[in-house]
Amino acid sequence: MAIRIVIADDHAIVRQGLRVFLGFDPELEVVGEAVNGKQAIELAHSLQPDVVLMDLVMPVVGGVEAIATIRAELPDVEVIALTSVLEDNSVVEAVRAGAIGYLLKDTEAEELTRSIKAAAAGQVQLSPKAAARLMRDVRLPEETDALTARETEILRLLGKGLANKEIAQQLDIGDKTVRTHVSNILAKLHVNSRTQAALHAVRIGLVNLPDTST
Amino acid sequence: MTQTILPEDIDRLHSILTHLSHNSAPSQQLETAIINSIHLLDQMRRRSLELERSNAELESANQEIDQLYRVGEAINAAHSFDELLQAVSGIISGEISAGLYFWEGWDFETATYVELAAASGQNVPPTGRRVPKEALPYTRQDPHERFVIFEDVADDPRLDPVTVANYLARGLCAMISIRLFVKERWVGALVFQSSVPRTFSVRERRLVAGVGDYVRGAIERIRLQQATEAARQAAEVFAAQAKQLAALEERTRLARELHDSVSQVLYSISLWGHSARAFMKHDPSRIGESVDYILSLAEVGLSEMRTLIFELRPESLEEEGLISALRKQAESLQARHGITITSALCVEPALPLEVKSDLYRIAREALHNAIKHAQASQIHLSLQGSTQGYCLEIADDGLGFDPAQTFPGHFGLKSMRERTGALQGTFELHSAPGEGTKITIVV
Repeated sequence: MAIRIVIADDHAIVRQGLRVFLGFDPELEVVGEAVNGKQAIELAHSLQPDVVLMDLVMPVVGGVEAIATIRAELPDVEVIALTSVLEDNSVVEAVRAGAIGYLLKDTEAEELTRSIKAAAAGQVQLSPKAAARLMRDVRLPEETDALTARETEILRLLGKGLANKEIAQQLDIGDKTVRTHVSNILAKLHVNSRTQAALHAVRIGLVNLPDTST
Repeated sequence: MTQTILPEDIDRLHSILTHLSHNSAPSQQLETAIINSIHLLDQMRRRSLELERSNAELESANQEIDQLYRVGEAINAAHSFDELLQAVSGIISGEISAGLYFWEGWDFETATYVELAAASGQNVPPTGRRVPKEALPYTRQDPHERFVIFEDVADDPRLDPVTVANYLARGLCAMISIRLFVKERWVGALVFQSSVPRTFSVRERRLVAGVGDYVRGAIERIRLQQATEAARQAAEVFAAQAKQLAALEERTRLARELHDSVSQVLYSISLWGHSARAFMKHDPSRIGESVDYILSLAEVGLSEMRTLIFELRPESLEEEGLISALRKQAESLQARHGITITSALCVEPALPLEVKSDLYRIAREALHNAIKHAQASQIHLSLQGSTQGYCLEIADDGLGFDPAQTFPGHFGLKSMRERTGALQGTFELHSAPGEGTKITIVV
């Protein structure tokens, strides 16, 4: 079954370009287009997509606010922030609001499809550079509740960028169980997204960044 | 009275008379008359001398008043403490240097040092030099004294040894000074000093005392001028900063605009490029369609760039005109957002450049609002001249809103109203939820 996508962008030409381009990948299906954050929230509710591609600077309701709302109301819907360089600060805000990843509008188009697929699988994918930047700027809560040994193990795998399904296979437990564990981990760490949980894993030393020299 | 009668003359007269009285027998009457004459003559001589003396004194007083008057005028014309000192420096003759000292903070009570603000004459210390208050214990003896004279510092019973040592170290052996008070505060002193002991004549004392009032008035005035000048400079700096800030804001707006327009177009072109490559593999018949899109997007991008470059150059409006600017803006927004903008624009209006610039900004803001906030798909833009003036109208089929409602953080409407107000025009807004928005401006 194809990954169902909602595109939220106030630029008609970008929505159109994305729709045509994503249309080539049989694993992807654009099911809706929103012209602002408010419409994106409405479409997320009515269409229950797997992934929302969210522009951050939009009228009526902005991207960051829409991400927070969608993540709070529909935790199964993953959101990728689709941004441009100017909105550097919004990137941090987007991750804090619960975006699983972010893409620059000048990114290689292949990176776009790869990221959408990773997001749909619940994989956190952060380049070392991005992680370094986010570690610096995303405020992670100091107060966290203690994780169980199993939760810590799942957090470690999550931090390595594994999807729920992969974690399930590696630990030989069910997908649903992993998902429950992940929700519990997010709740105990007081964070909204797997990205923030992964950053936390890096910070407490569960996972090493592959290369932080950049 | 041209000729003075000297005492010898009278004596001689007296002896002649005495001689006469021995050799003959003058009458008692004659002798009395002669003696009376002599007394009279003597009285006249005294009066004449007095008159001459007072004449000389009057002359000297006149000179003094004249000098004081000239010094006073020069003081009043002074624009700085240096000029002020220059004006007074001539009133004491001989090898003398003059200095204008001020207490720190212009208040003896709270000051910790006294600073030389201006100096003239020979061997003067550099201005700005400070002398600590504790080096001058004498100043504390009677701070209300207004006029201070030392004719020989080394041998003056009024001075304490510390003050003497400090005065001598500064080459001050004799001085005459006026302490300057402003509103009961002792702010400083005008000092004439000599490197050798000397006396000061009554006239010099009177002159120094006399210029005191002029100097007191002048230092207040000069300080006020300096404060005003400092305030003016601060205002200039502030204005320059405000200008810089405005330029920065404009740059930020243009950067946003660039981001909002050209970078989106380029991104879309790249997506279509990738699509074209995919079509080559999967469906070559559709390559032409992608290329057409790319070409039309490139056209959009170029038009956006033209609009931005137009806005970057303030003289563009003057060279190309308001109508051309409005048309370009409408075209690029139409292409960028895939909406329809119809327009009815008159010939280039005969309006001052500032008015055109404001009208352009108002129209740009209204179009922006219609697209971004009202999500309009159709906008009508019109500019028409009539006997009442020029009427700019922007009407859209968007969401509309309740005009009584306020939109925190959205300054667009407010700034449109303000701009119209500044042009002394009328601003009308008709809108209701679900009924679109119409803005009419008449200038």
